[in-house]
Amino acid sequence: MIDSFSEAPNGLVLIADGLNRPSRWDVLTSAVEPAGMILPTVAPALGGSGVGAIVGTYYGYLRFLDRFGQVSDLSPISGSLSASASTGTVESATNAAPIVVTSTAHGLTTGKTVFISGGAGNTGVNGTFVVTVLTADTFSLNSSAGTGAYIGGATWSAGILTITYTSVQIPTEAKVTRRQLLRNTNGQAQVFYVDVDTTDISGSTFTSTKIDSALQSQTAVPLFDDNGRVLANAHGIPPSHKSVLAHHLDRMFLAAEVTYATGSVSVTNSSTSVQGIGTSWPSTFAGRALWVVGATARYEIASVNTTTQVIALTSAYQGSTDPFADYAIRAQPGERRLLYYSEASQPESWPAINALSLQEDGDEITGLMPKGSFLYILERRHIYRFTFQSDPSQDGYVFLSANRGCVNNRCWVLADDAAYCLDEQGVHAFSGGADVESVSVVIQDLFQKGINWQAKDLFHAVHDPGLNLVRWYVCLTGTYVPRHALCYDYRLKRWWLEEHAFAIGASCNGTMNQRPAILLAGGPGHAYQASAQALDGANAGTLRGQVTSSTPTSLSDARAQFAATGLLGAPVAIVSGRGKGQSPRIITKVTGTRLSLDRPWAIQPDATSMYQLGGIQWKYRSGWFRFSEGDDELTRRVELAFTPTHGPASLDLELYLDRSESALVWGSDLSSADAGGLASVAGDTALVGDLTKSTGFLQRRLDGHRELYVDGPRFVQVGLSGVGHQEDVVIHHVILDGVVAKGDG
Amino acid sequence: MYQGRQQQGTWLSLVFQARNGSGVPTSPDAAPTLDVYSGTGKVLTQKVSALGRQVLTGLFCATLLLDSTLPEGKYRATLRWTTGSGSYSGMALATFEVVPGASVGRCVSMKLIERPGLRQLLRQHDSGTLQKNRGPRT
Repeated sequence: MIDSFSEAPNGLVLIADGLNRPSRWDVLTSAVEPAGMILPTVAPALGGSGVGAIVGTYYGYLRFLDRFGQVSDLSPISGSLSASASTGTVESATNAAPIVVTSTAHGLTTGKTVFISGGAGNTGVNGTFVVTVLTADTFSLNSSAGTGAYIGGATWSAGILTITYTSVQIPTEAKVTRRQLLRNTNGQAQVFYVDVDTTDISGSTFTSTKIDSALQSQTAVPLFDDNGRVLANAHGIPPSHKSVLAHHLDRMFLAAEVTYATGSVSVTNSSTSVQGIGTSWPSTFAGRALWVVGATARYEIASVNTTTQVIALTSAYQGSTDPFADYAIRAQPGERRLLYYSEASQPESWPAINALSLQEDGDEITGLMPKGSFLYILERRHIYRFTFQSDPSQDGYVFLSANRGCVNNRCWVLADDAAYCLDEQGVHAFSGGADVESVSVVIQDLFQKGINWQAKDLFHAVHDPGLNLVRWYVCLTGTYVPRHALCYDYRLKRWWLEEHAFAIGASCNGTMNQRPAILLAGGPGHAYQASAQALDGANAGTLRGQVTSSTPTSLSDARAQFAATGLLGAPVAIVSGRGKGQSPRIITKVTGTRLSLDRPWAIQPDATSMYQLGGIQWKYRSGWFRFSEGDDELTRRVELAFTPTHGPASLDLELYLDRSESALVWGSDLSSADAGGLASVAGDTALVGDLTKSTGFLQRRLDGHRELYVDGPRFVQVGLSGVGHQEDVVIHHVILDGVVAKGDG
Repeated sequence: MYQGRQQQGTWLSLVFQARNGSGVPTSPDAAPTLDVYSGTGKVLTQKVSALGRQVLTGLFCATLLLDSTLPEGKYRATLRWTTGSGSYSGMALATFEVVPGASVGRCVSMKLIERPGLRQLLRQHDSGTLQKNRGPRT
């Protein structure tokens, strides 16, 4: 499954794939860890001992913290502790300052603390006081004052010295570095305070001697805010079944589901066990739904044994026994339309209640696109605009924005004020309103027949702001990895197709040498900078030469001195002679003057062949133009202007007539000097131009004029191709004389 | 069957059809077993999942990530199954060669994270691994 990355303003990067618990990375350290903190599930137990000033009714919580201070939700609350070493009844209480209490044989000593409650009439007697013993039956309450005649009802309890926390849960997550035990103050249970803050993560018993006033000076952890919303328990872990992350207005959002259907399952009638074959199920599949092809019901997954790849269902399988059934695992249907979000400024805190349900429209959420003050929810065929001010649950609204969509979360880019999105109808420019402009009409046939939509999850796009260019890397029909880029110049509104020698699995923007750059992920383990160099830095040694021998999977140049490093993974292309025109091969091994290749040649080169290391093929096809017809004698001619290259380089020019897919075959040999720079060989389709020509100008006169009513070619198209390497090939213009208005795209 | 030269870090799919003693495609008793041998012995064993069984009977596909457990070299794979409640044991053979590449799989998602004085390239591979590279440069 494809990961989604999103960066929070505090620099934290979250990673989600819809299968596993999302991960977090602070970019600085080496550790990529599970995001959020799993809460303790066992309540601590409270006990008291000694005689002291802690008096009242207390509760406790436990929570975990990591080294960054991220906290977990609270454990279940402990049982109550009535902190009292001794108790007695207030028989009388004077209406004086201080109040003198009569309690027969109280047993207290001066300086002890008592907590008195339930007193009527003289309510000033209620509270926590330090006592001064007067007699064996009386004591005064320091800093107290009577409020009236005492009626009765009061009892006192003397405090304890130490509170002991036992059964303090030991964390199982390696990322937990601290534990905090929280306790309330007497008389209230809405705000808890950090009583024990310890880096001891293996002990299970802790003690505290903090009286309430000392406790109140510790970090306060209110359970709820003024509006009754949870605070202390707002640190749930992000959901594992959503695959697309986005950061917007200080919150992280998660949406879009994945379907896991790798391998097959062995199911047995009336059994709750399902064996996976060729699967890699994570434990997070517990709670999700299993669909088995041919079964009439879905089944909830109770647990997953990740070692044996056995699923336990919550109910027995009722379908037919099948040793290798096709299946799918998805989140429960109720989760399909939920958009989850984190707490503000807390990208790792995801309360379970922070979820919005989108209206059902039968479509599938594919991505999230933050743009301006809105978060756009992308579907395959729709785009929704989501907006909120402070809290999505309070003031969040969702509106249908457009009836176009995006195939996945990596196929949209923002350029200027528009978002360019690839959906199954083509590419559209979405400015945020209801109007979308379809910009791919001229290549619409490609979307109908030329793209392998089954591989759409692998498609991705990247914006090159320097070239005003968007590239969508797609799988054309017959390919299952993206080797081609649909390229769109959004200033000139022009399309073209680029082909790579290897699959481009991913792309992203960045800067290199202080300039904007595009990074592409190529073959195994390799990343490349687009439009830079083709050799990944290995510019030393022989880069171009004559083949001296070859095998089906290798090429040798006895005169070559290849660079010792940097050539592995680089393409090698045949630029002239036998084997010219086939796709470049990838170098897998360099042995002296021999290059081993990733796959066999289609046409094996020989001594007539010239090779180029780092050779990237390029091609250009114009639209169709109509020859002018009439009585006037118009010259038919093709002309190119280019920037001369320093190193040896050439291009091939081919002509196509009357919408043919086959190029025109030239009937005679004509040298470059005799043909204006574009040489031809009889029986070949290419006019070869030398790009080192200092004038930067090539031309060739074409077949003559035809009268309107005489049969002959009516339409013409120009094709250019070559192999690029260390220098960019820059064609300034191509001029066709003897044609009229453009026929079509 | 020789499956050709495969670059390390990529996935190799071994597709085969289980047949009974008469050579007729059939569903085996249980999921077939794939064993891969190098020159020094068995390298791995795994069960093989069905492929396109709605279309073709007995079609299976073993998918192997050519990671560090299958370093550069030549390998022989056997795919074994039984039919007729164990009355017939079938086997298919495949050989392949692993050529140098990388052991992390193909990158399917990446992000360049830039901080003052620091750049990290974060890449996810189809093997499920995350790879971080500090300070990529041209």
